[in-house]
Amino acid sequence: MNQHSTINVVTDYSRLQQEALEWQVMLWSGEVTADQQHAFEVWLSRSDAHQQAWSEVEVMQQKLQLVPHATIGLVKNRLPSAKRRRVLQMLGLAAVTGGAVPVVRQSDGWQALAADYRTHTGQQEKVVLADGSELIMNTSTSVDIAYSARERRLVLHEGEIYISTVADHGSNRPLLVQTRHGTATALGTKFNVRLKHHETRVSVDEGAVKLRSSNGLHDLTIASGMQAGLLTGALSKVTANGSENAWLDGKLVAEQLRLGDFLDELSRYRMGVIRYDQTVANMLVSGVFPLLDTDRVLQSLLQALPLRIDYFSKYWVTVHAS
Amino acid sequence: MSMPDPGVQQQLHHLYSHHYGWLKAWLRKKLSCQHTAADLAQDTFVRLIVSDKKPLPEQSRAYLTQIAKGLMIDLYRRQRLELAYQEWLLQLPPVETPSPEQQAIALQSLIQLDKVLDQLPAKVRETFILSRFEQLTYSQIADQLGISVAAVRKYMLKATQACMELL
Repeated sequence: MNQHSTINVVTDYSRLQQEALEWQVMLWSGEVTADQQHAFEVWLSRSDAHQQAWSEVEVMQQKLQLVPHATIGLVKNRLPSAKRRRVLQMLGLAAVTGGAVPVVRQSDGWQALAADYRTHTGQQEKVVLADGSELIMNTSTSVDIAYSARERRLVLHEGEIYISTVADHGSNRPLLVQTRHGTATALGTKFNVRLKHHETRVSVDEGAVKLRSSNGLHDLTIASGMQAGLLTGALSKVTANGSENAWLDGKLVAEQLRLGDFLDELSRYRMGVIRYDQTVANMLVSGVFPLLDTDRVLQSLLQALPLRIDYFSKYWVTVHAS
Repeated sequence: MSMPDPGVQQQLHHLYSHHYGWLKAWLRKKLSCQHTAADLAQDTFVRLIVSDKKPLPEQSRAYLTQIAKGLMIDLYRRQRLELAYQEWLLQLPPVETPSPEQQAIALQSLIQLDKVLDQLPAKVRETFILSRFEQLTYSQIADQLGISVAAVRKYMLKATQACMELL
């Protein structure tokens, strides 16, 4: 075979592949007429090469069918590319990665990954900042530190932090924590900030903290021993502190807590997922539990309540009524 | 891959010996897993070697960090897809659970599809998902997106071509 005819064969084959693709697109329309179906079958029966080209399209089609519908939400939910590029530019990522970097929208996921300080599931860590202020990070937390000449800003992307501020010698810059719901500005103080899905909960141990919602319309100052939530464009009522900050001592304190809420809280500290039947969700739990040994906590629940726990794998735990 | 010329080889050697250590330490801080950090640091250099661009010495650090960040984001996205897939598996009645081999292929397909769709314009992506995963007909998609049926066909062809190349 001379070179010329090889090129012809290659061209013919890629033309067949293109035709096969076009047939596939037609067959997927959901509105195929009998004539079209017949025309396709005629095309397919024309040669082995036609069938070969079609079988390659079928391999692709079968792989697609294996992708569960339930996972498509994740694939679909992306930032529009222009917005994504802008965000990436802010991060200084655009130069290398262009527009092709996938970005996860939920819970500031990708910022969390590239953040200055980060803890993983079940990990807690203490950080002393440049001005001497102290930051204690709870499980699955990520924080960016953005100190400037005007202010000491911490950006909480995910998780929970406890802050003990010190006076800023010389410059007197305010210290504030920013989340997607708003900001909490310290007025010489110790306080806890937890970013949840719908709100950012701020509870004050010492001193006071000023909250401001992200749209800038709502302000509120909380005194020590009190807490409140920043919501998108609003603030919640102020209530007294409970035992929310027991995590600082590695403890989870439950006082007549719904088991469902208890397990949700526990799962923050555990890799994988804890599921439970609705029949057990309303049982009540009381006690002091060690956060960093979640296996032990699950075992101790078995002794206190009529439960059965199935371990599908180490990372998939299901709690049923026994 | 052809061997780089001696000058480039020397440059790479220099980059590797000066930067591998801190890059691994930096990744370890971010990922707090030694093995993943070592793998990603390695991948970062592989990415650098296969790309044509080589940073100027004073930009090496920033350049490597940027590649590494991109790889971390890929890894993170991949993990989320894996988790979503496993979650889906768990909802299935035991008799319908695919074989481990099928699971591996399916997960791979999901990750590849994610990459494919990411490269496509939003309208094309949307069209493809509505057709293949929401089972809408082309006329229904045309109505829903306010475009012509011909445009739906054109978008589908584009998305299907991309799937053929990558899936």
